[in-house]
Amino acid sequence: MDLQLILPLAIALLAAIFISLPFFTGGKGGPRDESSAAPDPRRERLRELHSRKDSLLSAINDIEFDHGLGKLSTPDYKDLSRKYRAEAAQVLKEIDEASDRGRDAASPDDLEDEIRSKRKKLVLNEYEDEEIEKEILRARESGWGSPDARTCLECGTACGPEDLFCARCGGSLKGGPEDKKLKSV
Amino acid sequence: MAETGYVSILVSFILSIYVVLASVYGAKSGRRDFIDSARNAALAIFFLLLIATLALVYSLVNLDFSLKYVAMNTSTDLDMIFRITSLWAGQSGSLLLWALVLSIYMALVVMQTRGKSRELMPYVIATLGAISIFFTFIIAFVESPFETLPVAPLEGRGLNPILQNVYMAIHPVTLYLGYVGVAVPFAFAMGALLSGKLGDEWIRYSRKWTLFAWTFLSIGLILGARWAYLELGWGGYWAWDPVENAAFMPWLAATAFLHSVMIQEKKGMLKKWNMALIILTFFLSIFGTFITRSGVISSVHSFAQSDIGPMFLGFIAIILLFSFSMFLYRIKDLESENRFDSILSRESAFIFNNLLFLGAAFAVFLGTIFPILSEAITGEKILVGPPYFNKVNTPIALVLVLLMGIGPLISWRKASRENLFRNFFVPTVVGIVTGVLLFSLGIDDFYALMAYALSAFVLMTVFTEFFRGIRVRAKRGESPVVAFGRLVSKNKRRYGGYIVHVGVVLIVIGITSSSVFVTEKQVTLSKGESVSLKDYTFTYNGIKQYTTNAKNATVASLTAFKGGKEIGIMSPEKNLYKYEGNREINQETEVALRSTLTDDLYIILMSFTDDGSATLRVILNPLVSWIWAGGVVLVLGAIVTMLPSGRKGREEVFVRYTLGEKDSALKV
Repeated sequence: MDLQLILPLAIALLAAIFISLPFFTGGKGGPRDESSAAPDPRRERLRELHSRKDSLLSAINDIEFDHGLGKLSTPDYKDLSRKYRAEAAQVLKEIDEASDRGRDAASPDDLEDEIRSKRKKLVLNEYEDEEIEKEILRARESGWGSPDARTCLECGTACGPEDLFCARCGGSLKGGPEDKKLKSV
Repeated sequence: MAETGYVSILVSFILSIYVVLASVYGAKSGRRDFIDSARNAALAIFFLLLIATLALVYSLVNLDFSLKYVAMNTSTDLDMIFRITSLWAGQSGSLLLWALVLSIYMALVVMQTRGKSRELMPYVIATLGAISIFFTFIIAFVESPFETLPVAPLEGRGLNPILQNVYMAIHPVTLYLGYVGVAVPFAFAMGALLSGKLGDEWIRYSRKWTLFAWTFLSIGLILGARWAYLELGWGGYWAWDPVENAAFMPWLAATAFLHSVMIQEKKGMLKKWNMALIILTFFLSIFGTFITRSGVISSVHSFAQSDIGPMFLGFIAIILLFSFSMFLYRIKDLESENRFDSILSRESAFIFNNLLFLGAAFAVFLGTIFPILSEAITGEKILVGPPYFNKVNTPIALVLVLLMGIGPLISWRKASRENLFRNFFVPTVVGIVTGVLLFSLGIDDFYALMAYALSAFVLMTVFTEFFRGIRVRAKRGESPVVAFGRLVSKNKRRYGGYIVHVGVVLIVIGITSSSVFVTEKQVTLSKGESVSLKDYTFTYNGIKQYTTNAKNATVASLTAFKGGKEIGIMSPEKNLYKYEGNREINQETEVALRSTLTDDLYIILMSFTDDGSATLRVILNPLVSWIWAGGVVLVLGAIVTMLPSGRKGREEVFVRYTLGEKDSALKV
């Protein structure tokens, strides 16, 4: 037999073997086979819940800005806020339920702590990003004038328009550029 | 080699059928082994088609003229690079490339979703498999690239001269990556409809993949325009040719989707609309392939004539019938979660944006198929020229530019007067001042003035956004450069989007200027004579001729002066090629081009006589480079929006944390 025949046959054979592999390994063998044999609905459920939580939180954030900046009327805001918060509470409850069932395989405490601190760090980072994001939104609303974000004169931290004291150092924010703004709102 | 290639295609056809059957059976019966086997088959299809493609490339490089495809598209004196690129110079090679690209995407989707979305994925893979059945069927049984000739000729027909261009080497590949890429979001949409998992998972995958395909479509369109500008030698870059339109239509629909999908993500609205848009985008992509590949409409870019047309039409009919039936079947699950509140809101800006994009797509579609329709109805082919397309699309484009400035800054739900005033007062003033200033400088074309004023408006809104963001960050002690970098990297989708918009504005300015303010002259010059155009003067130095292996070239030489100062020699060519390839054209003009940021000097050698005089077309095209620059900016912006957001990682940490798992949670 010559190469012209062997090569195509070999290719077809290899393909056939590769494709029938899952039938013979029966869920054991490959590194991912175990999980593919037994799908983990809980994991998927959690992922879905988390993504819904993410969306809801950002929606709540959105309307809070819009309201704070006079973009959204108060009845509208209250209405939406109630709705989103109720949904978010529901999602959080579901997350608790889903994870409670998952607690059976508890892990060592020190690892738990590590994970927790890692997570905390992530959250902190996100928190700072969110602060910056808020400030940009405020700047957007102030047009070309000085941004009406209140900056603490002591430590330079950006504070919310309704804050009376700096969240970081506790310095008073009275007399900032904000007073004009407060009148107009 | 040919046998190997042919068998690979045949096996991949069989496996495509298997993918569909095994996936669907696995999903229905809950048998993981079938689903996994189908996924392996999808990967195998990729390897098989890769082998087939490599086999064809091998034959092309080694000029195996016993293969019809090689004999039709290459010749012994063809450069190595063009031997490789002739893979997509002809019909069956292009279709093989289509199938290969589809299989690459299929393999990527399989890898990307390993162990995820278990209910959705089997149907997604099945849909991709079904599309693969069609294309592998065509290359296996109808247009095989491995068809052999009874007697191998000594010399091939060569590659068409106008395809021997470096842009032609990359433009089709990028365009195909875009065209075929649209199949992925379509598959996710079908997967969602078939499995009933209509949550936000499929829409997230679809958005990403659409963005990816859209970017490649954009690159393909821009490179194609550049190729036409350099190679076709008529002075322009876009002629509303059917094949150009074929790529432009899915681009329009995909752009609409990329915008309206944001409303679905944020507000849970427009679910039906988005679903319909994805189906439409995929339909337009297949329709575009049909136009390019079937030769039903004659075009400068159609490098193929054949009878696969009816099959394509059948395939298109099946796609539309199937997807819209599924759509209607699930229509109850696609209800909106929110309602519209106000006409002055970001939601409605998006809706207008969508309607305009679709309006443009429809207008282009109508103009493109009009010759076929008129022939079917009246028996006479009525061609629709650029004036129609320009007249319809210019106003649409201008309103879209306006919305591009408004959309990103208007608030969701209901915009207040203060919101509008604060955000748009300065940009509006800048826009109006720009318009008035240009008018006083003597520009009196209405559309041009509008285009410039609106461009200034948009640039100002984008600039303001960046300025504010950078200022906020800079106040926290970051240097402006660092602040800029962090600003963009923290919200890639938003700022990447702005960068894309800047690219679009540059393109709009380039197109406006080069189409409204182009000046040209056609003159016949004898040796030593000169011609002037605006600030430029050209002195004709005569022609010379030379012959190479592949062509007889005639080169005219002109010395160009700007304001009396010599700026260089320009040499337009007219070439007669030995080969005509698969198109019966063996003439080619090589334009002389001197490109700067402000204008392009573009000289075409129309004809020449034995006494040494030459007829030349001299074109002064302002701001053409802005189009290419805008293209680069647009693609950079698109890349920024596609960079990973880290959301996945956070999600993973979250899931592992709540489940109390130890492994690899810390790696994220």
